[in-house]
Amino acid sequence: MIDINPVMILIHLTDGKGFVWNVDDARMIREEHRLVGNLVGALVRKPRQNLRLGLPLQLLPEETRLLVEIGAASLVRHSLNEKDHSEDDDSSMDRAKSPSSTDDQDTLQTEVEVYEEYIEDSYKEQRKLALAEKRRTLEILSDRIAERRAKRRQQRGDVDETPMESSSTGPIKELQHLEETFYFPEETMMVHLPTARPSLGVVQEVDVCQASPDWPYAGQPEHEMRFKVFKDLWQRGYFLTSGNKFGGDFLVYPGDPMRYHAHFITICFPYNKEIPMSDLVTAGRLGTNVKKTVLLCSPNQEGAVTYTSLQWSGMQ
Amino acid sequence: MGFTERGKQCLLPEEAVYLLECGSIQIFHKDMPLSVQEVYERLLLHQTLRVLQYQVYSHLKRLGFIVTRFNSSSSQSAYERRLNIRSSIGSAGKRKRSPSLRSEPGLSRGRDGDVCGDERSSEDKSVTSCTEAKESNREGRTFRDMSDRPGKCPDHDLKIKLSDQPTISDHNGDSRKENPPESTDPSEDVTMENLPGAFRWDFSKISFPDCAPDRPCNVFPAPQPALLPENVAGREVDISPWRQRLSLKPEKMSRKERDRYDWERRFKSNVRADAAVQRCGNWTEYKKLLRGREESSRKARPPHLWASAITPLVTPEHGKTTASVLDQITVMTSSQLLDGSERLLDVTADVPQIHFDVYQADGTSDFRKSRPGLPYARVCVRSFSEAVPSLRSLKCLALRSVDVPVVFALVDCGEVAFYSFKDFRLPVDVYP
Repeated sequence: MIDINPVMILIHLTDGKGFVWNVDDARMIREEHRLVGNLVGALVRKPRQNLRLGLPLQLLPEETRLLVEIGAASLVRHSLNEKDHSEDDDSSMDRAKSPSSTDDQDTLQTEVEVYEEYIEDSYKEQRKLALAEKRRTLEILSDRIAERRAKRRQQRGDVDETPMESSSTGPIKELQHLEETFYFPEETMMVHLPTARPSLGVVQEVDVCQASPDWPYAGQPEHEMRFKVFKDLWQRGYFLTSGNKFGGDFLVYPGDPMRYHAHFITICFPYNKEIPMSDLVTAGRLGTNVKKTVLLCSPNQEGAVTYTSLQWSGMQ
Repeated sequence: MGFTERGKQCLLPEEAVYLLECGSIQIFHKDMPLSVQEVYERLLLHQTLRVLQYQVYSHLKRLGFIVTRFNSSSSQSAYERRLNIRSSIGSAGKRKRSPSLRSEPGLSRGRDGDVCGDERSSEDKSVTSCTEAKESNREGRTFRDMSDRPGKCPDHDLKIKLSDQPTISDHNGDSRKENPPESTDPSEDVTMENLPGAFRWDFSKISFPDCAPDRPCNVFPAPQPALLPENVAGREVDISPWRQRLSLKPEKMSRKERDRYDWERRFKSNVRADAAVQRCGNWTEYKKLLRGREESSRKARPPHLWASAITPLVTPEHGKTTASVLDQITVMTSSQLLDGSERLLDVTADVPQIHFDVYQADGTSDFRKSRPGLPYARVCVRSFSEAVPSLRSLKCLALRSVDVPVVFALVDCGEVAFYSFKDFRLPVDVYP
């Protein structure tokens, strides 16, 4: 039985990438665990711009693995097909329900009913509120409306004066019949589009230490090397983000990336590997142009990471 | 954008996810509305649309572009561009085929058939007949090299010969309204046999009529009967009405180009300006003339320059421009990305796939769903962890999209960056 601790952060695995959909989890990852990630979804308030994006938060494989290893998060993946229900043994199912199809239909039916009831309630509520709003507006403006009407009637020449309209002190006729004439169709109702799943559904936990089709990184030498470097730098208190824009593996910040510029560009090499001189020159020149120090990192056999920094220096 | 299928408006998965994120639609599955997370997990797993590609798609859409899936039929081959086919075709998407153009079931036509059909309906017949002839040659795709059929002006002969000869042209015989449907078998083996036949013509004896604008040639003589099959009779034809239609469009040159053209006219000489060259009837005579000139110039050379082991690089008449001098001493030849790309086998596994066509959506663009026109760029989505494609696969990729630049969208944990390869030509000539 997967005992998912409700306090744990859930990282959802989609297409080999880890996503965090819950806003509290995303905040906790940044504030408490010092991991930055990348927001990749549309910002709800302003969806059609690229400067500031919203949830989900996409995490690097190294960040995902780090969170799982320190016990702050668990990596889960959703199974979509009904076939998965019957193939897994009952212990892996989150809900304690028998995997027969009729029961699934029933649950679906009740879910639909619950939803439709919720929509109905929401509609009534919104109609009530809209009605109250309209009444308030009309009351505020009723005097002015009555005045204008009287003026227009005078201009037209006092033809067909009805007693109701001639009274300038009573309420205008709209207010009297507001309940009946108020038009609030269902299409104008506001609906909520949730970002994260409203309910957890069926999930399976994914092991970060074992390679699987969903999580192909475990065991790959490059991933292991990068992860060691990542963890070492993280433990020293730095913030790390992806460094591909600057030709390296990671960018190292002394504090939150919103506050500081990166100090280092990290390039990971396997220990004892020969680095071509042209690569060193490339890295050095790049670092100089963007005013960052290039760190050549290699985890050695003992597990510690050795760092070599490249800095442009004149002949002095 | 979406598309309509059987009367219902449908959306592509990436469009649906994008609209949901914008808050414009609600997606239901089994009567329950889906959250954004559920939609990501359901729709972004397929081979045709991964999370990477969706991230690039939404990035471009948020910037304001119109993005559609790559439609390989919207890309033209070099031949089609030479014929400027695009201007005559209305739509690049769905096209209505008239029933008379229905092809025989054994032929593989694809878009070529459509091209023929639309060409015919929209343009003047006399203009299209020359191009149709070329198209017909092109249809046999494997025989691209043989498309310039030797012997005679192709348009006449094809009109006459179609009913008989089982050549490449017959593949298109069905597409013509004027000719009766062919009964020849479109088997490729027959045309294969014709290939070695092409070499049995003696080109030194066949005269090619020259119908350049400055040549006085208004009548094509009847083709030699020896070159025609037995039951076909050739005739001479007056081409003056057609010559009036050649090169109708004046070439629009920018100011810089016009200056360059004037300068070249002054300092670079046209080979045909020479009366002696004009008197040459064919290539043999021209080569003889050239050899004679070389010998006479050799006799006139100063011995102190030419007698020793080291001789000058250029002679006075050849050294008028910087380009000709550089030509003599150049070590490298400039090459473009598309050089030699036609000869490469398209090994699809290596070549990166083009995913999207991107159109601009500003006031100057004339994008219509039914007639999108030429895209602004084509996007190929890759991740940073993949290797840079080899030159060979780049050439194949460039060949797939000759008219439109290909842009690589590299995605790195949600961040998208665009890169492309540009051709660069080193300057060789000095223009004042």
